Amino acid sequence: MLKNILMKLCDGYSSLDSFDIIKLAFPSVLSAILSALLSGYIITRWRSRKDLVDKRIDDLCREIDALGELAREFWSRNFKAADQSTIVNIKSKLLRISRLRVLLEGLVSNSSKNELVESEQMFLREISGGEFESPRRKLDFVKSYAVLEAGSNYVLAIRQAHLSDQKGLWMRK
Amino acid sequence: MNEQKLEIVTFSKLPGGRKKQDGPYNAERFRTDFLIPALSNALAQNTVLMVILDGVLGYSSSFLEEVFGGIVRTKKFKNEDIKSHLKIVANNRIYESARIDAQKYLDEAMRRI
Repeated sequence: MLKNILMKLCDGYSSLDSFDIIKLAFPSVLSAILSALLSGYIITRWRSRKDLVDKRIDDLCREIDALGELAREFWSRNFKAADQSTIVNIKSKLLRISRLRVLLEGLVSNSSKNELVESEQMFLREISGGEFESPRRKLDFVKSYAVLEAGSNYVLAIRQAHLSDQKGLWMRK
Repeated sequence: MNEQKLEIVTFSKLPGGRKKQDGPYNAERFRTDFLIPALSNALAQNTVLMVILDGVLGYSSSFLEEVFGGIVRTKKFKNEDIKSHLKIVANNRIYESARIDAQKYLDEAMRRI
């Protein structure tokens, strides 16, 4: 019985010409190609987004480090006339960091956004608190240390937020 | 309640310093010449004063502390009036950390009084 069925089936296929075989195989080949293209597109999109986030994070961290260093120097000396321009420089750098943070916010989770704002606020407070703009400002080594610490805490918060977001992709609760 | 706006950028694009001796666009001047009259007006008209942080080239923590902590320390207004008639606003998220900082200074000063 089974033998007969197999024989008939083989007869059926042997009667197909090459055009019929192509017609039969075409949908499977096409869907395989489309799947490959789609997954390639998705992977490329994911990778370029990841690269963009990594780049923005690196830019932001670099800016924070540079500003931390500038502010450390500023707080490690008594006030001098040239410090007026340093103050403007520090303020505009703070604003630039805020801009980079806002750019990054579109690419991280809501909880990470809040952490970034909190860390930035601490950084702002340490850099520009107290006698920041006063001509009576004296060198303050405690402050210059606190500035560096707030800067590295900010960088750490950014890196941690990024890591936890990446983890979240694979280990979402 | 209706709203009134006070934009810090109309005072200066680069405000800074606590006291008069720290510079022309200091916090004390902003508080005395702009914030106190505007808040008094808001109270009289039963409106909310929105202090808008946007547009400034940058804030220092000391400026924000002197403006918002200082308004409580002047004791010209009751804490309840400040809470219900003064709102600190950052429309652009660039100024969000400054807004949080300013709000914190306001709350801390109220707790101390």
